[in-house]
Amino acid sequence: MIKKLILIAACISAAVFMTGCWSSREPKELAIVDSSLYDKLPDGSYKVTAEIMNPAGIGGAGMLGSGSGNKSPFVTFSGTGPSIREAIKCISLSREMKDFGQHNKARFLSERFARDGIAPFLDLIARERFTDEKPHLIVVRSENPEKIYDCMLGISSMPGDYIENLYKHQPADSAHGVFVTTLEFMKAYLTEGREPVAGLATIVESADRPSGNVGLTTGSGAGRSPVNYRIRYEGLAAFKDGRLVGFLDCEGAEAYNIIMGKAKAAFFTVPVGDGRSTVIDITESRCEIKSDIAGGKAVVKINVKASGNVSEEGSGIDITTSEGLKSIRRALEKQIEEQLSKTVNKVQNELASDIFGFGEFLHIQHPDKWRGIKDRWNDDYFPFAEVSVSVKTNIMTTGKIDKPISLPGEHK
Amino acid sequence: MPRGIPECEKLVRDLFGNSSDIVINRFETEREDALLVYIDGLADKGMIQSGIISPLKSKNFGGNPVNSFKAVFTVTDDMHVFTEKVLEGYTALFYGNSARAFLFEMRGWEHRTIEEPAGEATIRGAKEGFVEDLRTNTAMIRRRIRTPELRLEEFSIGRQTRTIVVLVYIEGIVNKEVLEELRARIKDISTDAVFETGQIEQLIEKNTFSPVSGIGLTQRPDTLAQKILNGRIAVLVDGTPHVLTVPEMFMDNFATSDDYYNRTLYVNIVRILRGISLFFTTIIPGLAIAILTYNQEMLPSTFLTTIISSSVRTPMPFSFEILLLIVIFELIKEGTARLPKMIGSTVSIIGSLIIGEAAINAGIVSAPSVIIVVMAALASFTLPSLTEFVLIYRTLFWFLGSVMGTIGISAGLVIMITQIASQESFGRPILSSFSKNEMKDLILRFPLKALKFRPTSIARENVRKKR
Repeated sequence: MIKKLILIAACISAAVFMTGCWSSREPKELAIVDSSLYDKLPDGSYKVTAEIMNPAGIGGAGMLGSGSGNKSPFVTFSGTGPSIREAIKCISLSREMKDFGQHNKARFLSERFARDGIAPFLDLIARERFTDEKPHLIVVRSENPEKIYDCMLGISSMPGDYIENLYKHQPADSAHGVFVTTLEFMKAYLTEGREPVAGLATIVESADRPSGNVGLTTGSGAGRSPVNYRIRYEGLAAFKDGRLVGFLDCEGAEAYNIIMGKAKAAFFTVPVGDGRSTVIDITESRCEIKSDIAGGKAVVKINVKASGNVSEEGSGIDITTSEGLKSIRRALEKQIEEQLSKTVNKVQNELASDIFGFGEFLHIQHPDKWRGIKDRWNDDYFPFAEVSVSVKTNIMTTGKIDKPISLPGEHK
Repeated sequence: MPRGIPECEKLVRDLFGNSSDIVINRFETEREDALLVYIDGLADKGMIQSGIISPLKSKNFGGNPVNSFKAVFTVTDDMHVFTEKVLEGYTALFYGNSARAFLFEMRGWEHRTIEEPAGEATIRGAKEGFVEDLRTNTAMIRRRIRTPELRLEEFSIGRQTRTIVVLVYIEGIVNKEVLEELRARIKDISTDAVFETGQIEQLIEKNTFSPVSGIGLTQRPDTLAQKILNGRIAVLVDGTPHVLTVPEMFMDNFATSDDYYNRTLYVNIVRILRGISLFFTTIIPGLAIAILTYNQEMLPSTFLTTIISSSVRTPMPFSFEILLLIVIFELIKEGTARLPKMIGSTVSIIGSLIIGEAAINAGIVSAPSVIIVVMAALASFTLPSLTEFVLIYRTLFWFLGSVMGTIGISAGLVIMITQIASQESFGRPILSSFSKNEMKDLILRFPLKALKFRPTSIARENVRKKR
């Protein structure tokens, strides 16, 4: 009896402890994926590039020796295969560390890859154990998307880190970029009456000084291309049925952010008065969308309420009076309305993809009407929807000063 | 008891077997012979000379010793009492054919003077600590609590050593059930020798293999006085400066006597620090292993890469690095505790140099593991009374964290909390101080004016403090 009990206890403890031991990973053996790039080659095979942190290159105060001098902070591994999973597997043929994807911060998709349809890609991420839904999903608009790993970064040492830091700081200054995590993308993709968008990164030539001490060793220029590239994170990539259908530029992305109620900062240069113009910094915006079907057509009303501050004054209007502010507000409202209408029109006509989720609002507000038309929404209703935009703004303060600092001879 | 001095002398010599420190002094007086018996070193020879010998040898001695002694004495005709008293340091005198012995308490021996206890230094409060001499110790308590209700109850433990054990408590505040239980357990002790309260502690406790003992320990009379006033019972043993207190609650390990002398805000900050250090010293090494080898996604990536960059060339797995350092730390601690102070500091310098510099530079261990273990070690010094507890649970968490990861840490926490909760100290569960009545002086200490009640988990009568 006792022997039996001991045997049972041994089995249980082995089961408990051994499973633990098997899944333990020494931190120094980890290949910490910082970002990944998914590409589709012309021959139809997939190419996956993983950007892996190189702790020896990042260094630290407690580093052994001084070997960290000129090591790169990251290394890339790429693999190709007939499917995404096989391409990922191919990476492990040359990588000697344990795969660790939980610190992945950005998934870059090449334009070809995104246009081809990313449903299997999303399925893989949702299904596999080593993948995470947290990373930002970004379409790289470039002939050679791998150049993203050659771009100059700021103080971040790795592209994934760079995107993460952009996400933290860019929205406080502008609404020109759109940040979408894989999870948000999946949610939009699986929601009836809404199409997903992804962030958009463009690789541009730059005259900025390169980081590090490369500029000091002009003579050698070893291994460095003479042209510097930078990542420009603005605009958005619109999807429909899991395929990339087109892009919106920075103004379109700003309009998208305002309609989605995500804009934390947006600058509008309002041409008023007889002088140059006034710049208003929108710091807060709310948006209300009403969707309905009337007369066989979709009717969408977008009501935006925004408030902001005067940021730069050159118009000559007396902003210390409420009349002066009112005229600026009028012009601002008109300008925002135009920008939003233009963007909505473009999305309706050129992309025909309901990225704003008008269908979802119809589904929520009039479920009975939605049920009848949901299969035809994308083709018959959304592109022909009557969209009206109305904007109400409020100027909260005129900043630290009230009267403008004007040039001599200009408005006294 | 025999009549006649020669018979008495023979009997005493047989009893003590000619021990060299037994003084058996037969002398003549104007009338009859007298026999003086005492132990050299325990008796005060000056007083014997002036109080006993001189009066008896004087020319004016009238033959009645009772009227002549210049000292207080008792009389016995019981041989057992005689033996016991002489062994305690009393001086005995036989006179003529009386068949009685006069016993004089003329004791005096060398003992350590009162010093500040090295193991329990405080910033504020009295600088005196208990010494080995029982009477000095009881006097120190009596000086602090001048109430007639203070009771001292004496026991003699150990068939060979006949050590005096004293229970000290305050009648009317003490928890009677605990007192009864303690008396019964002390009477139950059957042992040869007792030299230290540690032995008493082990002989009266019921939870021999528990990391928390349920019995408090102090060397400070002011701390002890506070505890007695809260309804606790002190156990003093002759020959040791360490004093036990029962019952002891788990949260008492986080309180010091300083806590009532220093100002409220400061005390509360320090108490919170002590709570954090319990977490640091027991769980941190295991938790660090669990997170760094199983759940790396819990760390920010900058933190993770920094740790990896400093451990990338060390040969051992992370958990063994931690174990090695814990063992080295315990070695240093044990080594310096046994050595004289001068050499002790040398050992600690060598130890810290080896660990802090050489081991990292040689690439044997990584800097993060040193930091983790040092953190745990430092924190353990803030809880001196929990040393045993901390050592055992730190090792348990190390093991569980290494083999089971964060799940193991949760399992360890469950084990630890149930284990503490299941412990009793003389019938009182050691977590029973977590009651509404005691919240004012448990984790935080409220201003002294608000502390109007004694802890109800210990005291049962007169719970409201006198004003």
